Amino acid sequence: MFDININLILGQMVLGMVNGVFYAILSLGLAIIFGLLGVINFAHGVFFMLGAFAAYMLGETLGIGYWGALVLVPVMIGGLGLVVEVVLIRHLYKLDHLYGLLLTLGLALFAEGAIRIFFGPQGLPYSIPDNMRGAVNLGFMFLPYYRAWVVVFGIVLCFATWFVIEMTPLGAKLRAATDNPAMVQAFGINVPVMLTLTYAAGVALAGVGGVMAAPIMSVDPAMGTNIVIVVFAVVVIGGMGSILGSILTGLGLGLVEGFAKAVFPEASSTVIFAVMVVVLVLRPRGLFGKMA
Amino acid sequence: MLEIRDLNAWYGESHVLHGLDMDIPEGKVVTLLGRNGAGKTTMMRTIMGLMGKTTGTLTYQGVDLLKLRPDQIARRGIALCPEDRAIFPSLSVQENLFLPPIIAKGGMEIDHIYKLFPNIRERASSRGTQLSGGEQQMLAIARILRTGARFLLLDEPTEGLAPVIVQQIARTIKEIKALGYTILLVEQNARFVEDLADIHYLIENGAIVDRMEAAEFAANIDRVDKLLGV
Ligand SMILES: Nc1ncnc2c1ncn2[C@@H]1O[C@H](COP(=O)(O)OP(=O)(O)OP(=O)(O)O)[C@@H](O)[C@H]1O
Ligand SMILES: [Mg+2]
Repeated sequence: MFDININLILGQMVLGMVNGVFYAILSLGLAIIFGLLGVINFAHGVFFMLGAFAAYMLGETLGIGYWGALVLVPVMIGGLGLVVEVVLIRHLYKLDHLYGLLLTLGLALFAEGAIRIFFGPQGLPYSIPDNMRGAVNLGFMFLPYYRAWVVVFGIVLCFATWFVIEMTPLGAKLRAATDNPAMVQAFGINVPVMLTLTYAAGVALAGVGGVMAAPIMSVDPAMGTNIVIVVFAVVVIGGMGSILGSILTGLGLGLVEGFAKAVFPEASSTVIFAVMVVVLVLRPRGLFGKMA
Repeated sequence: MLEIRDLNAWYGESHVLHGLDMDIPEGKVVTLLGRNGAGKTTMMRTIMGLMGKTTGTLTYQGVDLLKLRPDQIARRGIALCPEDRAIFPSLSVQENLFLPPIIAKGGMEIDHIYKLFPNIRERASSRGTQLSGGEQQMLAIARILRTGARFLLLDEPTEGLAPVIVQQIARTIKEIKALGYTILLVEQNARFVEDLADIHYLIENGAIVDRMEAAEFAANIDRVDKLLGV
């Protein structure tokens, strides 16, 4: 049953990093949004999916390719997030977290359904940018350039976000508002605007993820839901509230998944949930979670 | 400069301030003295826009503060050092100190602040909540001196501090008063405010029951002590 082949294991773990990067980007956005807004953003996967569709549409209608989409789509998705926060989400801050979850879940189902009506349920093609074709020989595997790019760019993106939050004055404002929003506002900072922009930035990150995923995952209406279910497990494992924790957990679980794919492929799609169960039993607040 | 008329405030259903009237003239140190639960902190929170339900008027430089959000109030030059200090646990001491944005010129220079509170400089890179209680209080005061706010609300700034530090804070208050700041000071310690303040208000059950000028204070100290229950 267990087939130990070191090249295969290394290869699958490198590919696992690709998934891990997506987990990290998405759980990072969820952590930021939950930390500041107290909203469990179930629509997060949908913004990821919309990011991929936006990249596809930019290509089909305006002939804007991958690199242009990588810049434009986060702006578009961020703008959409801004509208969603102002029109819907901000009315729920005074209520229990559960309402935010229900609202964003409803939004997710609605958006996914709408996309399915317009584009159909099947996957749409999105090609790898021309200057990213080919593969590099790592000795134990051929790693396609594009996947290498996704891993490198994704990690840079995650740590840049971490840097902004943990090391800059802007990030200090965010952290302070997570601790005590009323007091931050009493110091003259417009906290409602900050919440709007944070939601927009969090979902823009998901949008970037969607563009990055478009050439390697199937661009279909369910792609967001499919990944976000795993990402919520990642969040449970990492623990809500830690930025670095969500990055490391996302990447780490990508590796775990890749490892499982090499040694016991049948378990690869469930291994993360198995880890989740173990963590919930042994350490309910998650690996990096703060005490409630 | 701040004119408070018929101010009422509620925590949910519980009516806490009952038609309070007060005047805080520019450049003066005004104290609010009263027992635990009299409504002093609530008064400060109301000025800062942090109370949910309120009625009455709070006229500051011609504007009714009750109609503004807390950040708009802060931008008009009012800053609060709250009773619980509200040091942000996720921020370092230095980040706490620099968090409140500069809202006007004329705030205290950072070197001056460090000279007043040397402990803060020494602990600059610690987490805010790793400071001792007294250091946290110093940080909470230091934090609002930088911003250029000209009207400071100090809610029991000396509570739990060692006598030398209390002296230090008294000197700081005198110093910023000489610079023309306006200060509303909540204190339980009547002796501390005695030679700092220009005007004293006594509050009981959410209403002002007495007002005295500094010159009258010594003669009435027994009455003050009685009200404070000491
Ligand atoms: N968050 C709250 N919810 C409900 N009631 C409150 C709340 N905070 C204070 N109160 C009540 O409001 C009244 C005034 O409280 P406040 O904190 O203004 O008193 P205080 O004069 O500052 O007292 P202290 O000297 O103990 O700080 C008290 O009766 C208190 O029980
Ligand atoms: Mg109080």
